[in-house]
Amino acid sequence: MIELKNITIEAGKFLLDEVSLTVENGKFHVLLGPTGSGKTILLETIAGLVKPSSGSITINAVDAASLPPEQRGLSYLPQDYALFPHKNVYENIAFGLTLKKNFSPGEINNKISELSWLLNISHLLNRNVHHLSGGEQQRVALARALVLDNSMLILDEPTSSLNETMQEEFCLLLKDLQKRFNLTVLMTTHHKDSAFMLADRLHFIESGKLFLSIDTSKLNHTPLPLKVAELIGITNVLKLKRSPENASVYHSTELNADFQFSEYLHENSEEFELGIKPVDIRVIKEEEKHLNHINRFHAIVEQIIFKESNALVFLKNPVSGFMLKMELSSYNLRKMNIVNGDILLCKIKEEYVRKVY
Amino acid sequence: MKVKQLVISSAISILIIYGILIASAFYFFNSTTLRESLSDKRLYSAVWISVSAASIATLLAVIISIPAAYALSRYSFRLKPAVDIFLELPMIISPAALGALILIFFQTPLGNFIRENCMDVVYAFSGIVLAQFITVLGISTRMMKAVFDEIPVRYENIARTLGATHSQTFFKVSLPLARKGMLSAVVLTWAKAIGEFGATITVAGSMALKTETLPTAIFMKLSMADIKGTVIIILILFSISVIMLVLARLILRTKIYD
Repeated sequence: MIELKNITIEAGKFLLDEVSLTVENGKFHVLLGPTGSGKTILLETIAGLVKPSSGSITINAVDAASLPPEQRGLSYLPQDYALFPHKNVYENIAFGLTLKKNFSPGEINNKISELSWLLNISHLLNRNVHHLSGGEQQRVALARALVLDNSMLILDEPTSSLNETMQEEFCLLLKDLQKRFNLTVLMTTHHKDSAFMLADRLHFIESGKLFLSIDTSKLNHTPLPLKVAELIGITNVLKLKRSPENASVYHSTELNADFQFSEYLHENSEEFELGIKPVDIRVIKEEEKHLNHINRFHAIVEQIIFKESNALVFLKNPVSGFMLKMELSSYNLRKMNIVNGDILLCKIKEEYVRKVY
Repeated sequence: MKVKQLVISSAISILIIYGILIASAFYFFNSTTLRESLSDKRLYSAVWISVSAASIATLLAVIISIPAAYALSRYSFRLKPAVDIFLELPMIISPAALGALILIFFQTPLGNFIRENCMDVVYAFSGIVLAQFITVLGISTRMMKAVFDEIPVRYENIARTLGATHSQTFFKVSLPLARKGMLSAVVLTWAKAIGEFGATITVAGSMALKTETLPTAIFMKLSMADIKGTVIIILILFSISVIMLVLARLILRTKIYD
């Protein structure tokens, strides 16, 4: 288990501000935050490469403040992999083992063969590291970190340089390795999809501050700080105020509409803010308009931006001018013949929205 | 396009300036003088003294330069800015002044003690070595530091996380990565040492068969108006230096780190 308590690091103008974090054994922890939020420096601090200005670090109940990196028992995969350019793939993987006196060349060979088979890099062992693709370099660096049999693995943005398909493959591989070796993992990323795919527990960081640590399973029904909401793609925030006429109804001045939500969302408060992802806004189809839909509002289509298979629709409330983003499939957009200037009747899907603060 | 032509012309002008100088030496080249020089013991002595003194001075400089350069590249310490300034001392002070400072040092009580109990450098081979060592130490350290500066710290960091101690990291990662750059720095240091004149002649003089190096031999020949003899020694010194510089270029041609 890794425990950080009130870790503060000053690096020029950047300040990592009293970060406290617990990484439980056998769990996959993900530190999610935008670029420049302090993720890398936090990992480097845990690895012993950066000394904090204040705060404490314990690794497996041992005070790690004075422990040099080589005695921390952590495997570290840096963002740029840092494969030694003067060594080939085999020598890179073997580096850590050759430093330990208790491994014979035969044992080293066996361990490397086993791991390289698992990571599908057996055919690369005699290659020069300059001749590897990005994905191959990553797996070699991972093998070099894992071969030491440390129970804790920390990874810095391992998916940042991979395309979407490779990201998915790598995430599946990581999850498999974590289970196979019962690893305690702390990974940083700014990709929310990778984070949600892997994490047992998520830690949200921005501008050097840790905003929230939460089990992924509890994320859907927990009120979120606004910055965290933004990190997971909640781009629409509505201010809702309880209606004087009906206590179960909340009014949005911005959308000029009334809403009714479950109690766990509003917690009977007089007013609250509601976070909505663009994918959780739906257009009510013509044939459904007569149904008694709740949580409806009208909006004008201001702009449509086509993404890969989806379209991002910028909606504007005709009365308040309040802007919302809605995401729907390009297929549906075309099927419903939605174009700029259309007035749409939309609905918010209650099951995915959450309170933000 | 005009700017491109202008800058290329400037680059070529360097070749022309030095080319004319070298070519002018060939104007006075005489094969008879060459044969005479090649049978002269004094020339062989000057070559031997130059090569051996430069090699010892380079070795001594490198022994100090490598750890010093690593420290200057990787660590912050109190006297670092002062050390950094002193690296330039041999470049900002004239070699003759540097030689004079060495002589002055040996007039101090400490210098006297060294002369009486360890070695006398005045008009001695050790004086040549010392003069060359003092002249190249700063440059050697500066070049070594540039080599270490170019090696990304991330390799050393990752080595530490893989279980390497400080010294293991230095010997298994930093030094192998710096190997080529260091070899090149050694060659350039040696070339600088063998061409050293001002400090050498000030400390060790130019005694035939004893302290005469190739540069001081050039000076002596020229002072006797023996232009043909001077040209032969210049061409020998030039050939030795060119061979070493080409060697350095070949070593530098491939980089082993990205």
